[in-house]
Amino acid sequence: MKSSLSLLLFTLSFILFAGCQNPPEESAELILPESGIAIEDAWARPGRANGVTAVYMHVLNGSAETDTLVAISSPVAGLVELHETFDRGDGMMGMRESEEPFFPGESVVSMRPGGLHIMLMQLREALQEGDEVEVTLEFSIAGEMTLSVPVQSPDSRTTGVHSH
Amino acid sequence: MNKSVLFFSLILSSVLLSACSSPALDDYRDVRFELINQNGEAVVFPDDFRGSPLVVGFIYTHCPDICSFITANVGKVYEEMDQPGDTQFLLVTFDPERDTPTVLKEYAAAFDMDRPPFQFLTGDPETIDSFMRRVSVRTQESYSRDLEDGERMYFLNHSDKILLIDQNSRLIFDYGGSMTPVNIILEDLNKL
Ligand SMILES: [Cu+2]
Repeated sequence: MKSSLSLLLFTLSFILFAGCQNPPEESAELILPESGIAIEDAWARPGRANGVTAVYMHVLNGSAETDTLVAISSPVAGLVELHETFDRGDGMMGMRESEEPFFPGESVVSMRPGGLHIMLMQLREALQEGDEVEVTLEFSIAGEMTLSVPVQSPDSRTTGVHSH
Repeated sequence: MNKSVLFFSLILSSVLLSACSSPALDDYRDVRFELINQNGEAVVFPDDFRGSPLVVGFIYTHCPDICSFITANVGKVYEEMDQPGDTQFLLVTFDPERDTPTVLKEYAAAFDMDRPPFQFLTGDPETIDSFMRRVSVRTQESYSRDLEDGERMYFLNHSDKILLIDQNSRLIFDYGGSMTPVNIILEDLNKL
């Protein structure tokens, strides 16, 4: 009984996420920094003024300890949160603030379409392909880092949303 | 090994099942919804589309992650069709309070979809509400934030859907909007 339930869950989650995730090989190419946190391949979707957008990236924690994202800000957004997209399992999808902004030591946490993302809300200006967005992340151990994130449409990215 | 075969067949069978459901899941010939497109033009569903196959996705623009998949998927179905003919492509918002025609127009432009055969539709909240009921798209406020300017930012849990409607306003297929491979929708369109 238990195993058939887990089979079903596995199958469902596979179907739900097969179309949404990049192949796992991609993370294998990422090399952890010797210490602290490094960010790779950050990008933001285009967005309209007063609207919202999502920022994606790989967070590489090369230290031995789990680090915590304690604050995020961006000059282009009135409100910034770490979000996760979730599947309610009843055909409905939603988005919520992540309650676990934790980045385990010697690991990569990927923010990617269909999952974790940095949500920029109340955009002060439109973001178009070719623009750069400043995003500041503050980790409890690694401290503050400011990124310049390119605005890209998923179609123009080689590691696209749909990798079939 | 056996287990992975089982996994695989389960996956296959659910994909196949979703593609093989019986024709005409619903019939919209008896309904009439007066909507408005991103150019501010009145659009009547389904009357204005009779005679054309329709691909319809449901979105709200305060949803940059999952709804972007739905919008992009609808766009890709068109881009990958050999002969789109007069097939029409609609994205209908279930958040009419915020998604005005102007907002939808900017949203469409960001996807390079502010052009025929795409239309982004909104309407008055009562019409949208009854439309969503009719097409079984459910929404529910998930959480909100009070903003400094006194406004309220809210988010919605919502059905993840793309519908395929035939030339006679009958619902032929009902897909998971964000995760259905475009080629499955293409195959079904080609059967119409
Ligand atoms: Cu979000």
